[in-house]
Amino acid sequence: MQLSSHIAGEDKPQKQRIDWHHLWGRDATQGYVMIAPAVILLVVLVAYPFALSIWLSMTTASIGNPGRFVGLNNFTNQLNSEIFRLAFRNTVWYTVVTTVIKLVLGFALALLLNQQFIGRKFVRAAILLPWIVPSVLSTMAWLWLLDSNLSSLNWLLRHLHIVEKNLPWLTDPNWAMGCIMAVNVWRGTPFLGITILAALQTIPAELYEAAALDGAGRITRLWRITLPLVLPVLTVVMIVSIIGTFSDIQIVYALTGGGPTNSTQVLATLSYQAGLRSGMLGQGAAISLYMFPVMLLLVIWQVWHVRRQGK
Amino acid sequence: MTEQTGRGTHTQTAFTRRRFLAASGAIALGSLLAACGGTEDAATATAKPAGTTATTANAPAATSAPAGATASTSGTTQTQPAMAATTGKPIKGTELTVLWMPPSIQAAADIQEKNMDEWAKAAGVKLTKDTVALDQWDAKLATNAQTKQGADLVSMYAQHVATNENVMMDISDLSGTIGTQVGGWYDGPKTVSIRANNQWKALPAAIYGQYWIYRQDLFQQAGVMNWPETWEDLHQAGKKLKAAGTPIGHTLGHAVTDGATHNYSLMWSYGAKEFEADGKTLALNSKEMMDCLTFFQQHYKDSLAENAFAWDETGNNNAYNSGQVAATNNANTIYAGLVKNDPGLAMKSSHGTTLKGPGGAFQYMSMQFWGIPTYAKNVDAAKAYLTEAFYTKDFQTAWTKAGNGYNLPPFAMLESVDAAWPTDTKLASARTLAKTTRVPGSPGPYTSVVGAAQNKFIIIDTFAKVAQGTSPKDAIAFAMNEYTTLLKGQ
Repeated sequence: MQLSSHIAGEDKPQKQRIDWHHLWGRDATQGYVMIAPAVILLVVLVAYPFALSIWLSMTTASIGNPGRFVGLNNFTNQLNSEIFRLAFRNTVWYTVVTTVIKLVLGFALALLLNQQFIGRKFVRAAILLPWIVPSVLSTMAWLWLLDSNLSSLNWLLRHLHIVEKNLPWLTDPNWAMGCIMAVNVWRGTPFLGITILAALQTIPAELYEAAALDGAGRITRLWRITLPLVLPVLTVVMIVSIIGTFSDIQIVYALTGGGPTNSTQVLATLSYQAGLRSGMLGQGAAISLYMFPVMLLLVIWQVWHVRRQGK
Repeated sequence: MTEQTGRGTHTQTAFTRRRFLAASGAIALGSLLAACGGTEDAATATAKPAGTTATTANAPAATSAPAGATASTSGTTQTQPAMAATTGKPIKGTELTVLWMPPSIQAAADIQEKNMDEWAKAAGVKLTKDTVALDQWDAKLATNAQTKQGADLVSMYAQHVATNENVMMDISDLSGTIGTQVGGWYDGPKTVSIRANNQWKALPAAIYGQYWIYRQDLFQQAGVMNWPETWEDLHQAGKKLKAAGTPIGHTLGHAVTDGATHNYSLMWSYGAKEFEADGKTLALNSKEMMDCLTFFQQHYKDSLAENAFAWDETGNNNAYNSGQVAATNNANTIYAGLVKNDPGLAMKSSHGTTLKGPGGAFQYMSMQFWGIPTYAKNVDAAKAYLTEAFYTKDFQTAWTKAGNGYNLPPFAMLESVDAAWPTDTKLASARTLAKTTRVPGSPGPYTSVVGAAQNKFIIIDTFAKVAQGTSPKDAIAFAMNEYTTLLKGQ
């Protein structure tokens, strides 16, 4: 019996032992292990919520109710809403205008900060303050300045006899949109300025000296040397700025809450209003996903641009 | 020792970059696994809700209350509550988390906090109080619902009851016993509490009284000797007041409470409504709504403050306190603040009655509710607190008195209890005000669409559009379109 079982055991193919030591020593294994935490984080914190939001956008889910599948109904349904159309238009307008202004001002700021002057280091540090202070906090300060009843800015303008009546900062739809744009520009310009400044400092001084010897004036040097050399950085910060502004919720939420009469409503605030405040998770997800194609195109452009620069 | 690698042969030193990376990876992996398989204690600790503001720690062994009822300073009647009165299950030594909304009147907030603390001490329950800013309430409840974690007992506004009804327990049993205890619920809040299948998903906790506060001196200077009885009378008075530089304050901004207070009340007073009684058929496209908006367009032009489009919940308070408007509709927080900080202006101020329109006199008032979520871990203690402490006659009398016309009881029990009501004659209407309140969606139910429309400020924006020059017809079309979008998304 023992013999037969022994013989039978010999007939079985020998179990291959896994050489764990060898496996662990392979580059590929260690590479996978090293990259695993990042992948896990991305899957848990980015991919899963994103996939969930796509699913939710195609259902009638509300709080505590998984809802039923309705396909693209939430997306098409929103197109009938005047508030949604206004929010979409506002989002694009808000992003385009503020990004252009921030780029121009940021570039000008960088050129100024690149000059030699007394207290340059202090100014460079101080200029970052609007960007460092938490958005909600600084926006609350702006709210105090622009308040519809007790605006300290209006008080100042009236006492300096610059205006006779209070200006409708947040009361008039056009003024309100102008105000949220101004606050966004105030907050975002330092970041662009400092980033462009870093790019400016990588340009060798010899290039300017050679150009000057060849008779190139300031404008020519700006167009022919400075701009081409900072363009890669300019493109990247512009894309980052567009993405940040397109999905901005804090300034609008804290300053106007989307009002008056939705004139400053943007997709981010509308999505929050529909999804979290009104409990209509499906509709909220659909509104927020309207931002996705724009973001995707920007990211593709950014990746393409970075790769092209790398070649 | 020599090792062959894909990149050639090299002599391995004691500690190479590869070994460092391998060791780091192993440590990281180990840490991750340890974190994922944490101890039960750790898991329990992380499951506790965030944002805790205060904890009432008690020693359970020393909390046996004496037999019989004793009235405390906060009006809490302590009746040997170591067992849940409703279920008879032991609650001593358990934990209860309450998400509560402190009333804006500090005295009322203090007495409510004391009520919770004293009950917890007597019951031997470790009670944790949690709160967040009002505009974060929806997000807090939604997050709790999605993660199935949070407080055992939650305060809610009507909108929250509607949007969270699927995650609130059926507490019909409690509504019956407590309803009897408090002399019957008022109809307005009852409409919100009773949800699908006739289930009570929330208990009315308070109605926040809304009053027309006005400057008697400015009205008299403008030749208006008495508070107007109708909206049309207010319009006529407002013409004179606006000409004198102090118009009427009517919130047209995205303010959940004050925006609804002004605009829903005016809409109902003209007989207009959002839905028919079935709660499904839209009724905004009506002659009543057209008349209402036509009146409002002229009313805004002639009588109202023109900076009200950006007013939040404090907009009309600030405008009144700074003398920019002669009248506005608000909770008694304006008057209470003036009594304390500007007695001179308080003397010049008075409260007027609810204005009548062609359809009657109606007043929107915010309401607060208690709900027990389905994710609650200590349902017995939550029910016990409500039965033994919150809805007792002693506490309600003391709480209502402390609120001085701010938090009004949503039930009949205190109607004849003089000790509960303000002695200030300017707040005399507080006693009957709560009964007159109307709820959005009326005469139909307070559905989730009604709540969502309120959160999207559709009615407020409809009035604001008219004030900005949009024709009443187009404004109605806007409102109908937005309500239809909400209905289709159901």
